[in-house]
Amino acid sequence: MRRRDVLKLAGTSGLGMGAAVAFAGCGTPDREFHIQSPVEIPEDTVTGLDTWYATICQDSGDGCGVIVRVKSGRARKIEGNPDYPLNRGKSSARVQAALQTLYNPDRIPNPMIPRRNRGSGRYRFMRWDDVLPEFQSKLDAARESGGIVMITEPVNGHLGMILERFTQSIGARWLTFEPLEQAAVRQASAQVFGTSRVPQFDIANTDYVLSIDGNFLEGGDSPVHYGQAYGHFRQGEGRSRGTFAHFDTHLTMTAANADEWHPVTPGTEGILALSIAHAVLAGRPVPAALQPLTGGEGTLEAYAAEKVADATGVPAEVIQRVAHDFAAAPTAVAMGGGSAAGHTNGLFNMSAIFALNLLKDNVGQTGGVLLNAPSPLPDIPAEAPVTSFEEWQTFLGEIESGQIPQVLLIHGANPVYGLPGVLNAGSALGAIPYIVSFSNVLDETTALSDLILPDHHYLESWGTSIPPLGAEYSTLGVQQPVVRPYHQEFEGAAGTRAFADVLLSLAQSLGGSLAEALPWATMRDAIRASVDELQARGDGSVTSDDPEVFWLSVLQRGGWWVPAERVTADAPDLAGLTAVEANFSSGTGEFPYHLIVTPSVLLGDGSGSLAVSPWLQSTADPMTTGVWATWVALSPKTMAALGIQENDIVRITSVAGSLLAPAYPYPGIGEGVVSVPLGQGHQELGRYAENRGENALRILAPVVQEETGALAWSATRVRIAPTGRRTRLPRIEGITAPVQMPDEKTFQITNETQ
Amino acid sequence: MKQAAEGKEQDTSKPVTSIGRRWGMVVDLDRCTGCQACVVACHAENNIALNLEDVVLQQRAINWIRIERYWEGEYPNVKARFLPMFCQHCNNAPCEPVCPVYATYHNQEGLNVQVYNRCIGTRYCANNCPYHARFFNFWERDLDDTHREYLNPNVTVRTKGIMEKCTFCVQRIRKSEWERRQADEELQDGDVQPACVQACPTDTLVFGNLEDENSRAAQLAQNKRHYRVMENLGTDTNVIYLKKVDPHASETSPAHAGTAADAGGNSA
Repeated sequence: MRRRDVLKLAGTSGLGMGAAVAFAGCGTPDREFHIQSPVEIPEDTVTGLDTWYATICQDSGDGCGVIVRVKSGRARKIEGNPDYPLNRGKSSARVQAALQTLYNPDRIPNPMIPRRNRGSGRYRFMRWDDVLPEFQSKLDAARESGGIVMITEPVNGHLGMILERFTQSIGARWLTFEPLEQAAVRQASAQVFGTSRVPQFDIANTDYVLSIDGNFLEGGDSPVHYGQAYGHFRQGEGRSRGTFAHFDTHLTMTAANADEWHPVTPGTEGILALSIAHAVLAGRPVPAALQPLTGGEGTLEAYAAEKVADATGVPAEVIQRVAHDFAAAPTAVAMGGGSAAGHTNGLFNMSAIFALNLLKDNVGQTGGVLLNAPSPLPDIPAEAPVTSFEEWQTFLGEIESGQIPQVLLIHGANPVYGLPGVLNAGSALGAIPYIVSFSNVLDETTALSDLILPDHHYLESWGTSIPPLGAEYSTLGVQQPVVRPYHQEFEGAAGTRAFADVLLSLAQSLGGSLAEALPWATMRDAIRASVDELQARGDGSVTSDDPEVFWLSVLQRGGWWVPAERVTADAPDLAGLTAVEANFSSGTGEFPYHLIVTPSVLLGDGSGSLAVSPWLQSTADPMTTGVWATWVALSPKTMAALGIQENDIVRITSVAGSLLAPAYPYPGIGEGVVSVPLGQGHQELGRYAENRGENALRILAPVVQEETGALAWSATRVRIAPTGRRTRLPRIEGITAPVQMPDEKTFQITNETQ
Repeated sequence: MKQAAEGKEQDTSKPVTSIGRRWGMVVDLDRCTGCQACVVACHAENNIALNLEDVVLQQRAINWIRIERYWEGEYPNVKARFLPMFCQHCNNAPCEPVCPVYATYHNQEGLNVQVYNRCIGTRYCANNCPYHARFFNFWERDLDDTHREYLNPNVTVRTKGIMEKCTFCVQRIRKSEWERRQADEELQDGDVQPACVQACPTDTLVFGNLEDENSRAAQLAQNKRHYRVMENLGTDTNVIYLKKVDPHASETSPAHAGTAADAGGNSA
């Protein structure tokens, strides 16, 4: 058994026990973690061979299974893990760019404290041994009075479990931050499908996809998973080509891939869905489950296509045709999301869209809506708790009124960047006397802290992930360190340290109920204990009688999964979901345009540290080809009316603030809508991200969705004014003169669906 | 795989693919969503220089593969189409005869090859490439120390003054060959996956030996939707596109799509 073969095994499917045993017998894989000195290479090292390790990608937002090529102690390339159920060997731009978040020149290499005062922007490197005792005593003191607050990203798996137990046992308040809150999607899913884990829409096997603002190819639960399903939906072997109709506020990347797309007036997505439902029913009575949506009328007559055409901006014949196609297709799914979920009536919008699936009776059916398999371990949460915007407002309001917590712990979340600017999260959080950040990049929230204890990169640390989508398998993805920490510790002094391990060792030192709740010394031990539980089950993707062999095989495969039975849905409960109109931050008079903030397919919503990657920064936005910047996508007609040219800097003003960015004439947007991409506008985050573009989250008006308490992030209206200044938006498009071929089109289309 | 032609004199009457291998790619436009995974995968695999903001503004960005986006129609009947564009590895390549130093030539496997240490940077080849697939290194590489760590050791870091372009990840082809040779086996269809192909979530890209009629790529190339970009230039490309299917095409767009208005290479 040579190392090369292990590499192959890591990359191929269908392994059984043989491989696992062989792996255990092939020497100390530990050696591979060492960064090898070019001078003193161990005698048995064969240069020129590389090793692939399986782990989980935490940059992609969905926890893709990946395999990482490690050579000479460095990660060289990331590919999808061909075995992993969520993404089956495929990856995305964000997964690929993980090498640059790992080898980011602006990573924080050591624990740091600010020189002189907090926020001075200058730091002193510290030793772990010097800072931990003080940290621990501050925690211990604050624990008595319940004055500890923990802020993290929404997180599931083992870290989610550890955070929950840690905060409970130490009496801390745990807040999680999701900038573009998906509460409406989750609650609509709970009411329509009986589970707040948004189900998997089986587009790979369906004949017809109806999507209303559901941008599943660029955002949503897992673009990689849905991208793969989409490929099969279009040209998969053994099936006919599926049809895809999409409604959206503007021509997004997903909309561009639809067979037909139609603009819909922002905030009327739910009404459009009811109108489609009315047309699908075609005179038949409204089923009992959908009755609440009729608002006591008993019929959906009020939503007849011609009656809503004006309000929704969708012609009646389009509604009727799409409804007819949806009804006539042997299998069909209705998807939603995107900005429809971000209105004040987001819950109604999403419920009405999801309820269309009930008309097809497709829940739990192939080509329909498949509910996710549960977590394979009862202790390990599959869902990440999310703190609503309303709770954030309350929390920040309490601070302003003088109820100030003593200690704030931050990991993986950047509320100072991501919360609307009018909340002044920075100054509110800044009132907390002791702030500790575990971030390994200097983001806006970390810049407030008194102590920075940098976390490892996820390619250097242990963790687990339960995929957001997965009806076929109940999965535990295992994230293992594939390289030694780049900023390595020497004799307990400097370097980075895994966040979970710091918490676990704190729990042990603080003792008491905390130590009982978290009995593990390290995250690795915690995962090992769970994996031992899985071994006892004796089924799944890996089986073995030997716990050690089982453990190594699970690591080699990138996790453990077992085929799951179809989960049956609870009866829908749509009570209280009558049509309500969307409210906006202001009237149309002063602020005539809808602002749609659009997460970038590359940089996401900007809340993570993806903007540190020059690859993601310089890769063309699929629709505008813009790079390295923020732009304002405007209808060419709006621009003409306002006297704005391409590359003119315009000022977008909402009730909550304004931003400046160059105008881009966007052929796929209506006159009343403005789209601004997210991801830029960082004040911090290092050389490739800071002081670049604008952060549109900052100017969102603090309008709340009543039912969920979430931020209604689509409810902001703006006005646009030219500034008289110009700039050049860096774009990949139009770099050379086009080659004109009069008789022959470069992009060719056929209307034969075969 | 024994190198049949090695050490023998070249017989010019034979087809260029005298060893029974002609690498090619099939691009199914009906699957491509424009997600850019291929673009970043290519950068990561091939040690491509970082396209910093001023590089892009100077129109000298290097992307061996790019997604071209074509607008079509007027709002609200507007559509956007995505087309992955990269070196087409023409059998009849316009870039090859113009190189004064034979830095670009056709190898026996159908690859259009760029020999970096022959290249003197005349840029004639880029000038002659109708696909804008060739890119010139205007600057010496100036990488942050940490950004050196992930460089692919199997791929040369090009210096200033060198032309470069898509190689179909020739290092992966060589590696797969080597691995098969260790086991005394022939290269099999599916052994080689360039970085873009491996990343592509939708399986838009299929790579294989077009000479082997059983390969998946050769089979797909027979699909009735097949066409080549700018076929009437006579470049005889080894990249075959499958037309986008749009059932509404005749209603909304009698012209059936755009010209190459969005093509973007760097200015050579």
